[in-house]
Amino acid sequence: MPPKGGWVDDVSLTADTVLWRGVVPLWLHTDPLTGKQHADSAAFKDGELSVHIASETKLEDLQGLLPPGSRIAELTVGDVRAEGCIIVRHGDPPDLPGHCVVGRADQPGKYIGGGQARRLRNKAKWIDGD
Amino acid sequence: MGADIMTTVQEAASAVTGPAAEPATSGTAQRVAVQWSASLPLHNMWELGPIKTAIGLQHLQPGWDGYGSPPPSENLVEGAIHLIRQIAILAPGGLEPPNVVPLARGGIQLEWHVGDRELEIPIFPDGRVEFLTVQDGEPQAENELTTYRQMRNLLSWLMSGAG
Repeated sequence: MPPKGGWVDDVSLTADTVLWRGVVPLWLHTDPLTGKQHADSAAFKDGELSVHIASETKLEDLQGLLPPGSRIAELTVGDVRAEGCIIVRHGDPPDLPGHCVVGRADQPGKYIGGGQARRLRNKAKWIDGD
Repeated sequence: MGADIMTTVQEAASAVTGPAAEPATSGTAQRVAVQWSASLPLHNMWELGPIKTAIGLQHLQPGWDGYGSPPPSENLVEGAIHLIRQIAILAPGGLEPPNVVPLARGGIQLEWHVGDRELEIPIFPDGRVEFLTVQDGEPQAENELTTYRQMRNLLSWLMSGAG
């Protein structure tokens, strides 16, 4: 569902604001050499990419939304904006507090581009380490 | 092979499953899909894994991504299968079958990783097909994928990263 107030970048969210993104097992790959997991770029390819402001979100509440085996990646509002995206609060109940959606600044609501999604994936880090 | 990929993806889907307007959740549509899937003739074994995965995506639960996404529609899955089968014909020898993953909001993405090169082909719910090339982990080129000539060139580029 598009943001109620429209696609207007929330400038009150500063570049260093940390965002969490849930990544389900279907989007997790394990490197056969290192054993480390990485997220598929598909995890960041959406018309309305759901993210959560870390400082306003209880980790256990977010984990409760996700299927078993999911992991949580973090990136910043600055990362999102550097990829030509905007961020809008979307936190009406029953959403979790701190829920936001990220969309393309040039074509809000259209899927985030492949290159944008890939770079967001490259910048994202697991909150629980490698 | 100058056919338009998006058109053939959509035509393949409607030829198998009927008009796109038919609700994907109807019992009739599900039966048709199951029947067709069960009798699918394979060109070669290369197709088998990705086709099975694509069919499986159709049965994802709504909200499978934790954010309310629907599973890919029957039409889109049939379109993805058609594309996989075309790629199986075009694929240079030695190319591994693609990884098939769901996209949010009902899309499907085909992916390859060969040496330092990667190719992503997302198929969106409206039937649009795009590509992204990645080298050394960094995105290189992306665009709409509309012809089999483009597809052949992309596969050649990918395979030149092998060895």
